[in-house]
Amino acid sequence: MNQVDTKRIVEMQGIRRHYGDGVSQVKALDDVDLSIQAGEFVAIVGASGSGKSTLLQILGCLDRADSGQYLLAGKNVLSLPEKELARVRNEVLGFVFQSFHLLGDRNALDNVRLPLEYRRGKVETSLAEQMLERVQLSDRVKHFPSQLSGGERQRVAIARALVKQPQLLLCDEPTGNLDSRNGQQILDLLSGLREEYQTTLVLVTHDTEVADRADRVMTLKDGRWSKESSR
Amino acid sequence: MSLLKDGMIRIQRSPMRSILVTLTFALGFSAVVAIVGTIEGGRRAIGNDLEALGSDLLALVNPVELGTVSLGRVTEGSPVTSQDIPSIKTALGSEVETISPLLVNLGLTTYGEISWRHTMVATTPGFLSVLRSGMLAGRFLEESDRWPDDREGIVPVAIDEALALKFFTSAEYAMGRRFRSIRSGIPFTCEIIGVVGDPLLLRQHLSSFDATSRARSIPARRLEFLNLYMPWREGIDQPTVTILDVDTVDKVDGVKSRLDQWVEDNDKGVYLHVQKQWTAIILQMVDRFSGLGHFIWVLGLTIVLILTATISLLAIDESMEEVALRRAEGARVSQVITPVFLEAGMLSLLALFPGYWVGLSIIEWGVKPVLGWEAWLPLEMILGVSSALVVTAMLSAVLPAYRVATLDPAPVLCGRRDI
Repeated sequence: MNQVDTKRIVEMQGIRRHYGDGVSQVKALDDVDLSIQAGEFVAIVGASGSGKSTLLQILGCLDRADSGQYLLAGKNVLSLPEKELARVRNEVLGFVFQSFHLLGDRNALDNVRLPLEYRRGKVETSLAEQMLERVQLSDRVKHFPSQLSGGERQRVAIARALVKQPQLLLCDEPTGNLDSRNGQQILDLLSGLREEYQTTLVLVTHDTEVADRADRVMTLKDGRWSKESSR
Repeated sequence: MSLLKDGMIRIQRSPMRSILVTLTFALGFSAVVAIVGTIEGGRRAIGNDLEALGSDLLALVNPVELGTVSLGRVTEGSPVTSQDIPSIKTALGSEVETISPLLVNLGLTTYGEISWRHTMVATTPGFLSVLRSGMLAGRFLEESDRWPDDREGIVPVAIDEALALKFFTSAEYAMGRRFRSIRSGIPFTCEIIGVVGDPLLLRQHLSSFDATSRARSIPARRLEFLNLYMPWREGIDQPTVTILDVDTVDKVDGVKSRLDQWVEDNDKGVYLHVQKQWTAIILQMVDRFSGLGHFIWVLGLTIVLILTATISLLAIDESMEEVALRRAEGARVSQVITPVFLEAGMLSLLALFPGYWVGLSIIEWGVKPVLGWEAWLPLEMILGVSSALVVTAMLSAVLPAYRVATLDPAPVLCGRRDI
């Protein structure tokens, strides 16, 4: 597991992300500050259109803020060139999406191996196999996504995110496409893995039950923090 | 290596698209091969024909008199006569192998039920050196071959291969045959003593497509090789054309300047034709034609480029989510672009052989029977057009690659469906 150099893995100040201009301008994020400690489990909640997905995309270096400062593991990522950002996404961040985003023409093992292919040197297949075993899919290694259930697909996606051994795991509605039983299993798995690997977990959800599992719940409304509660 | 694998996966993922792109590349390449093969084959065939006509020849062409009008006169003075030949020989020395006077008339020949108007050439035995293709059967005229003293006598003649095939179906069968001809209103009987090989290979297939015929100079048109060669009558015949066969092409310019001087000194009103210069002009014209052909195949490849780029763009649109995911997982722009180029490159390589085969088949079954020449694709030309196809394929991948490179993964990953 990558070592966290600083106690604060995320330090955001005055993050602003606006779409469009004039009267049609949408303030997705407006002067947002956020600080997350290493190993913390933070849930970001809010209504649809509150800006939580935009925040997650900026956190994941998939989108750039219009202004503000964002230090990720001590690096000012907003000023990094695209090539460096790709490296950060590959080495520091892990993603779990609501709709899994698995490659349909690759089996489970190859899907998990995918992030490792963008690293220099030989791809460690054994690491991907271990991760699949860890998410209890060792008997589904050669299965393609179409041959897996929704819960199994999300477990493959989690394995893909964790095989990189990221410092920050970002989950966008990870249980949104699952029934409650599978949803609970996925949340249990995420919680267990976070503790096991001491990974920082940021989870975006509109489900308060899911959010209640977090150390800290932060509520976004119209692109601004409206509430924060800790356990 | 994994990028190569990604390229192959892209090919396998959409077999129909891959087949369509490969087919487009293959058909485009076959068109290129057919065009280039035809052009180069045609250039070579025309070059061979021109070579066969002889590039070391000079011709003194007497003007054609039509009443009081004289056509073809360049210098002022009298025409060249057979009495001038010894003087020309003296002026030019040993650099000229033979000087052959030619009296060219249009005659009519009848054999069986076939009658045909064709040229009749009275000349001396030395003219054989001008006939590069030599004798197909029998022999050419010799000093001992003469016109008979009486009208019922037999005239020994040699005929061109094309004429032999027209009347007798084969050169061997023509040997010794007799037929009736009329020249300048006087009928006579001929006996074939030899058949001259046809140097114009193009005409063997289809004379109307003989690319050199319409472009031929006046003396060359008189050397159409559809001739009946008969003995020269000393003191009676006067040359229409006097052909000079120079030792080598290198000596042509020197001989020409001395011949110009002779014409001036002897006040001759003739046109001096230099086969070498004319050949160069024709080859220049052929090169221009070739240039047009090359432009057409470049245009063809451009169409291939647009077609395949369109197909590939659609494919990229279909794989936007995958690309976005790869970018999210840490792929650099170059790592998502490279498989797009590799895919195009691999498909173009797949298309090379079938395209080449189809192109050659088009020439073999479509072009050769009509135009009559063999395809000719020198190695450097094959390498050139193959490279052009691969470059076209790569260029066709530029737009899709640009689309991938400029993709913003965030909004794409908001899509709520599996890839």
